[in-house]
Amino acid sequence: MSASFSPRLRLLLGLLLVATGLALAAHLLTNPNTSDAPRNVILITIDTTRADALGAYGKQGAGTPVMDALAAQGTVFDRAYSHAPITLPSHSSILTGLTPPQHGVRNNITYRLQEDRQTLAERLRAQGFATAAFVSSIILDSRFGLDQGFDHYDDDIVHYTRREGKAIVTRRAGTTIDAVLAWLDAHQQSAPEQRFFNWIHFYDPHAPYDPPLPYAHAYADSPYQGEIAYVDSQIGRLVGSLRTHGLLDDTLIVITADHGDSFGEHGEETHGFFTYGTTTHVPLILSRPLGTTPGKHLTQVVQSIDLVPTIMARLGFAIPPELEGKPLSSADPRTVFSEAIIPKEDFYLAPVHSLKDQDFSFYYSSDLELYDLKADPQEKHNLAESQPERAARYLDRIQLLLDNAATNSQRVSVDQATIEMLRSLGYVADGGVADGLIGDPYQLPSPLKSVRMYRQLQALRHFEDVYPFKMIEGLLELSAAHPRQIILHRELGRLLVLAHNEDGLKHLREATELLPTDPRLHTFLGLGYHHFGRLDEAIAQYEVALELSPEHGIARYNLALAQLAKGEPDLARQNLETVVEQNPTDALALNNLAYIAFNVERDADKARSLIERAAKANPDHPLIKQNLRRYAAQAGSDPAPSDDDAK
Amino acid sequence: MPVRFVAALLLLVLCSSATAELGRPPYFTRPVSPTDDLTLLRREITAGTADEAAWRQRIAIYTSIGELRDAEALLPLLIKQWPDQPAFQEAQMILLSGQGKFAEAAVLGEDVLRRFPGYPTIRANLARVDAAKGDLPAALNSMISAISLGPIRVDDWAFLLQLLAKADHDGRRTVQVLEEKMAAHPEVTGLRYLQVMLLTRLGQLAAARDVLRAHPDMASHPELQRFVADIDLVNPATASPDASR
Repeated sequence: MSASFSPRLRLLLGLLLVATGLALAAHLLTNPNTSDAPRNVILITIDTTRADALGAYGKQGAGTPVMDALAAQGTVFDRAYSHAPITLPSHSSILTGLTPPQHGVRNNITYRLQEDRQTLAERLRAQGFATAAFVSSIILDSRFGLDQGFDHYDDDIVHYTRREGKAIVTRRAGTTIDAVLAWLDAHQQSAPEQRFFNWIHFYDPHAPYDPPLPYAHAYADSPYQGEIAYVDSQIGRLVGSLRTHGLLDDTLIVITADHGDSFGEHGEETHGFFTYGTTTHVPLILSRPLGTTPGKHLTQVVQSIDLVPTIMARLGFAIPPELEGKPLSSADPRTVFSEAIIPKEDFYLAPVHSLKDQDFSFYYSSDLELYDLKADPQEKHNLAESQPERAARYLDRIQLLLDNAATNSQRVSVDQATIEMLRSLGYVADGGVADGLIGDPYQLPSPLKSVRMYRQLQALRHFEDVYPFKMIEGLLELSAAHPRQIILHRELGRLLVLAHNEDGLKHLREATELLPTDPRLHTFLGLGYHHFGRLDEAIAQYEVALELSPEHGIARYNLALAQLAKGEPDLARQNLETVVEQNPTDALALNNLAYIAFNVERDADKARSLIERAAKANPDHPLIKQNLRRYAAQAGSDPAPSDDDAK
Repeated sequence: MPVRFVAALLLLVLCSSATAELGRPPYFTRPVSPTDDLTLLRREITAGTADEAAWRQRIAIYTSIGELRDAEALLPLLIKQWPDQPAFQEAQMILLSGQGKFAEAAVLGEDVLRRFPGYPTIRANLARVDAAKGDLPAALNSMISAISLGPIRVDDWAFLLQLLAKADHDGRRTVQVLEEKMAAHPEVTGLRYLQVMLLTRLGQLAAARDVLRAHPDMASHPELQRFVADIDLVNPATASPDASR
């Protein structure tokens, strides 16, 4: 007798089979065949790279044959967006799988990724991977927290030229790739069986655009493209090395960017001020196809936070449930959150938050903007007024995201030596401002309406190094036209003080009066007073700054210097000690403590101990090197001569 | 010597401000003034104390800050005072061109070129005048002769590439024409260097490398040497994932 099943049982079995099939399909989508899983992963992030700068995205004569070849073998995401138009927050999203409100890194320089946020490197190291990162700009220095989980974090970028004080704070792709190839060679020698995860960051396409020869001449009419062509050639070296080691077929290479760059679109030059597609639409290429068809272009909207779940799934590991992104294999619709905090934190304007989905983009600042991305991909025709209900729905979603932001962002106390270096890259580095001190940020002037002023200010900055008088003249005109723009008064004040012109104080005072709750402005005014020898007034301003923000390391550091200049070394020492408590690697604060120990306390051993700590924190700073030699000699023991001495 | 302590660096970077004698950059106060400079020049010429180098520096500043037009009254005096100094005549040529007087500018430029054929920037600037006049072949020839004489500035390269793009959209025909010209004029090294740049631009990196390797005198710059060394691993024909399969 043949076995027979009741109709009900057959139905149940059928349902079970369907359910099993669906579960299996879902598993395969998110956890593809692990036998096909790559052994190793190399994540390449190219700073400041627009998707439309690559041949794989249709750029004619892009000079990107290597990336194009990888794209032709793998999968290309035509509509990938990043979460911030600046380096540190965007990379924090790429590496954690969290948006800026959740990982807490909202701006460059003044934030640090918290220890309790898990990076991809931490997750893969826990799976036995060797992990190594190679970054190319001080903006990604380990002090900002992205080194979490990396066995090896190569941020050996900063070095000083023979001219004292002049620091070099980025490195070219060729130098970075040299370090990568050396690591690969060593890894293959010492632990060839160990799987590895590399993160390689290139900074070259970031302004100023200055590729090496022959790209400098070959792309003289498009130096940005020359930088990208140069980076492509260095990726070619990496691919060549992987092949030599027999690793190419076993390695998933992921290529993306932290943000794009604007060439006048929306009135913006470079990036950071807005989150339009111009600066958030990034390339995203996987060197191995997601499905079976190589070279496929997928048009669904995806985002940087999808990378961690994608890589985990591709490697056959479970996707951590706390991640906000989805594997790229998932066709689920995304709504991408991005934000630009620079307008608020660096320019005293309202911040910008945005959402982008398959059909629309929405921007929330002191203005509202809504664009139909299908009809208007360049985002030129604002529909916020004509479609208020749709705009309101997006606004509700953004506000919910912001309300649910993690509240434990970690600020970094930036030291003076770092400020020097960051200014050389054109970054504003003034210690940041704690949230809540500037009131309702959406009541600040609109970035959209201020963009012309911002652009003029950027243009004037080109004169700052050699012809600052042109910048002063331009700022005077601009501030007359925009008398309530704090940034103009601050910049004008700073330059006039540098020019030994006491009118600078008037503008610095004007800035503090426009926003009296910002400790940074009081610090600037204090510096101005100090410059003219008005030490009591300087000290008073630093004290106001510290009352507003007791953690403001720059205010306290400069308060100490003013006290030292005034002949109050005990007070100066106390404040410098507080600076060092807040930031134990503040090399210049340690240097000045050594100065006090040596010259005031007459304690050569203490001075030597302090200067050694300074040298450990910043071994290459020429002044610290000089003082290390001097104090050590006085303490009766001469340290080994440095390289400089030997030359 | 007392130990230095670090002053507040945000604002207190010590910079030398401009002196009455122009001084060195950075210039926090305006170092040039058309009215004052004209008075000063006349006085110095009368007194016999005018210094050519100082006036060249002053004209260079006018040019750098985009205000050469304000030096209009100075240039004739300077040319008369130093007729054998091509810098002032070149500035006058640029000024005329900026005023739309292209024919006058070209005549002056060609005169300077005839009298001072080795003057480094005249060819590139004359090429700009030719291009503004609409004489693209003359502009192209001037630029090619400029690179034959030695290094030119990056913005001159940009100008040359723009000229080439106007003549030949994707550059392929240009490479062919260049090869013909190189065969006819092997002594013109600028043509070969231009070929390397065009090959690089066209993504033919191995070919560019081969030319540099065959002519090491052209690859004396460390960046070009590095390029030659790197490119062995870069060639997309061998470096693409395809090739490993």
